Amino acid sequence: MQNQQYVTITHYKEREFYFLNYAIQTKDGFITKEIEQFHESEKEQFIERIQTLQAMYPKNQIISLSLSANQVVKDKEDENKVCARIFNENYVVQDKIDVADVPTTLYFSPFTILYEEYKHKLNEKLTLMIGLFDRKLYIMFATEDKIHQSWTLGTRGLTEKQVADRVYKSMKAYYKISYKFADNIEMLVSDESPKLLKVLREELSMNILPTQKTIHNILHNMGSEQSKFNSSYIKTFLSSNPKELTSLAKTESDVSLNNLNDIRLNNPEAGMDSLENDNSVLDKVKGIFSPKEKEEEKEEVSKEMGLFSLFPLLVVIGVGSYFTMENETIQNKIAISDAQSYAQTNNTLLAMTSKDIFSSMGKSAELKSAIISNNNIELKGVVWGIEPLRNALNGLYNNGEFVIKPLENFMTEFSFKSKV
Amino acid sequence: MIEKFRNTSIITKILYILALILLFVWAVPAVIDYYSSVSKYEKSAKEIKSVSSKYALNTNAKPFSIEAFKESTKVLFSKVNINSADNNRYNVSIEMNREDIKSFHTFIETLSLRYLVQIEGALEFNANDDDIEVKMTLVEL
Repeated sequence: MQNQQYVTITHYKEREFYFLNYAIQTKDGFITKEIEQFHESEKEQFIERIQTLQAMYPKNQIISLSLSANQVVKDKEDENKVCARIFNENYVVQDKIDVADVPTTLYFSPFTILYEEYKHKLNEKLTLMIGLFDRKLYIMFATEDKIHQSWTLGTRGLTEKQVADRVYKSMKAYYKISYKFADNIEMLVSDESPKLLKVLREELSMNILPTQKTIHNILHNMGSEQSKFNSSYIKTFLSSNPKELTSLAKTESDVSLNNLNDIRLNNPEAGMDSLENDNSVLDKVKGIFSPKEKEEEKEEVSKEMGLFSLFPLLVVIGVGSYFTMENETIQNKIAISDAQSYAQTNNTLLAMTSKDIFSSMGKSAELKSAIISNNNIELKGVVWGIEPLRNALNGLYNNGEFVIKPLENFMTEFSFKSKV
Repeated sequence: MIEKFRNTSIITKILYILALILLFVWAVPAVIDYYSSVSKYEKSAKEIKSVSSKYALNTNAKPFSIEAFKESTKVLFSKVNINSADNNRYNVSIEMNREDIKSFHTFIETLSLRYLVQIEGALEFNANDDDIEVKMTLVEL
């Protein structure tokens, strides 16, 4: 009967060591075996040991923890990244997950584990959940309906005081964006760190009751019920082989359909749940291979961007047209203004020339006819004082042609031509 | 935003790029040209205003009209005739006493400050003992 038992095999890597453990899942909980430790140079033995356990217990889940620092909780799934649904509309998203060649069927994020651990305590008040795994703090601000913000803080090389200070700064940073302070703090620690806890209590002036659990126990717990892990494991599909997926789905299905009497998954309610969950997993798997929804989403974004992209073009055309038309109007005004200036100069020169000629007549002559332009002049009249008139006209136009002609009535006519 | 832009269609990208090109190649130069022209016009208008103020003229030049011209010149001179010719030109004949020649010179100096016209060609004077007749052609600006 041993090979009919449902077993969770857990492993994770901390610094240069792999830690391996397995547990027999029973109706009353799981029974853990001894933790095994492998140096990274003994990776082959480590993998062989997992394979041996798999052979010993065909009904198994191999569970590991993603300790990546770049994971964050978001409102939407990101098709280009690996995601795990936490609850409702919240997803843990990280750029990629290094599955390496260590057999693993389920990966969990510390954020998911935190939520699983404390979800029953969440209410409408803001709760700060802190998980300490492998010297990293996974921080989440959550209420019963949503995870509002998440951060990952490294603690390596920092004193407990500095770590507590970082947590406090995170609270302040969150207060700045939401104007809310956490009413309650829950802390899940996989490493024993009483000093950090003490400093945190002092620094935040809040009562914190930590939950101390080993990573293996947390992972065994996550793998204990299909309903618990089905929706919250990290989907590594981007980097894994679709065949593995099929086998994973099959394994889950086998577990739910061929349950042993002594495993928790066997209770009737859980059975119904598991069937529903199976459907949802398969739907999701189908969804991944059928790009329809994503394409629709893309189309929507594209339409939105398309409409939005018209706006700057229209604004540019509007502004350009307005200023081009205004510029044409002002250019016309400038042309008129320039013409007016030119006309004014032309007319003034004519007036000056005319004034000079009439002045030069004085009492020596009388003008009978004249053609005066800004290029030349032609004058004709009667003269009494020939020399004064000649001098006056030559004073104005020294290259002029002055001609006199005696008239029959003892008078003298003059004519004068010159260029101006 | 960059991620969104990457996911957009080629038409959207073209629209954005077209908007940018039009902005820098057409719209911005049009705005700069406009403000440069405004500055040039203001300078020119200021110069004309300065000349007008020397003759105590406070109004801007009006578009030319025969009626207005006749009305304003008949009080200065004995007789004024004006006939419309081709191409926005007007043949004008003014008769005056010899003593009014100074007024005529001032009239010519300020003519383009009152009306948007220019004297084209020459002034033709014909005089007898007391009167002078001047003929000229005006062209509308």
